[in-house]
Amino acid sequence: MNQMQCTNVRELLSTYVDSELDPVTSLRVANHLEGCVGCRQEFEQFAQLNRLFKGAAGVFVDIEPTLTGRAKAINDRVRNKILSELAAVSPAHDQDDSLSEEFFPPVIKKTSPATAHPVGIKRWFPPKFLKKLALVAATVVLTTLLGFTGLIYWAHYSGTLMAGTVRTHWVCTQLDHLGLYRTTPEQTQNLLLRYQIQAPDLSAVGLKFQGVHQCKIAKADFAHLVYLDHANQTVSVFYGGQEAIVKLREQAGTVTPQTVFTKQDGNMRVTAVCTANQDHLWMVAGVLTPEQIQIVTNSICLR
Amino acid sequence: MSDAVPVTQPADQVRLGNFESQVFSHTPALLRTAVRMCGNAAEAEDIVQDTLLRAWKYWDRFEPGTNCRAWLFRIMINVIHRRREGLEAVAPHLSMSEPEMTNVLRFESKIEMDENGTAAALAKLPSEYREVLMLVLVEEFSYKEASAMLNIPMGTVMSRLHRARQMMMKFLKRGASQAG
Repeated sequence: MNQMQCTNVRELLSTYVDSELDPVTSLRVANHLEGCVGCRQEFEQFAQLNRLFKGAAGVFVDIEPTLTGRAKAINDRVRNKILSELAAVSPAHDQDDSLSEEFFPPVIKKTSPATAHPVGIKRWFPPKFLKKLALVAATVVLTTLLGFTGLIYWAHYSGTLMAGTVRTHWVCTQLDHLGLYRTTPEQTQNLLLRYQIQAPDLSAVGLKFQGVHQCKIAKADFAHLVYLDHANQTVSVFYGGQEAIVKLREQAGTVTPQTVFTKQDGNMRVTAVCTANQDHLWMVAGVLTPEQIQIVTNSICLR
Repeated sequence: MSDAVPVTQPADQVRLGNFESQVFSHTPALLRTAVRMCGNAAEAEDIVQDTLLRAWKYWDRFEPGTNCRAWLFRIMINVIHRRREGLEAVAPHLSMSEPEMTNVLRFESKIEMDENGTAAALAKLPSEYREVLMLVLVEEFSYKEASAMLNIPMGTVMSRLHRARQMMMKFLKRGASQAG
């Protein structure tokens, strides 16, 4: 075992005298103290100091005689305070509880009604639980709203007309199923009048007109006409004006009368039809066969 | 104690009885430490009362079978620290880490009452040294427990104790030579 230097030993003496050193180091310090008068003197002083603190005659000589009486008086005061608070339990007494507190909260306000044992609903649903519940609920609502907004933006304001048509068809179908886009016959009529169109008759391909609502595709304004087939699957027919034609021209180059663009996206077929005077754009999205698309296109263009 | 005993629920009475039996026996130790930590008997009583009321408030958080004394001391240390922070915020020039100033301001005539001068020497220590000395030497908490109560690393407990002891020895020797 290496001989320890006095400097090292003296740094460890405080811990040694409290018996907090590990056994090996403790033994080395003890060995050193046996042979070193100077260190042993300092150790003796530390040990004497410990005795002063642990003995009632030392550091507490001035307070020990009255300590028990004072402690009893404090206990009585605390008991009385607790009893009076229990007798006047206020529903508001727990409102200053905070989730952000560390292990213990701020000092109890002397003027406020103090905390007592929770009663009634607070016994089963403590304020902290309710706060956590509210936090979770707020997070869920906020996340849903953000997701919903993002979905709407993604569907109606991003991408090209063809891609946007597929997205809008999907999103509007979901919202329609939730009943958000259901319109009354009067509202449908008013919107068709506003766009100065009539709902194309697509009964030749088994599609029945359901309703119309206003919509955006790639930021351009469209009327979204919703049809249902025999299997209750939604087929969307979109009608856009001059703004939509300009947008299509930007993305597809030259657009001649009766140009038909077709895009296959999974089992979804999207067709854009530019009508003869180039002032109107019809787009169709849904699960349709090429033959059905052809019939729909003809129906629209012949109008 | 007032004559009129407030009406309480049986469950509250059981809870209070449980609280009293486990907590009130530690009040003398809390008071003793509080007096030496803050140096003023009236303030110490206020601190202990505050500690007990807070312990009552959070009695549901106390786990039966664990060290109630350590739990109470931890609450009290927290109360003292918050008060100290409040005092320093109000009067930052009266820093508690200046031993001479602390002695003059807070110990008043108590020094003369201590025949051995140990209390006076303790009062001269900076508060962070005084509290660690009280917890380990007087209340015999382990370094680990003191570390948890004061929210400082074990190494800091050790170094503060070592430094506190050296300062105590210096003050006591100086006191003895002045008396002589």
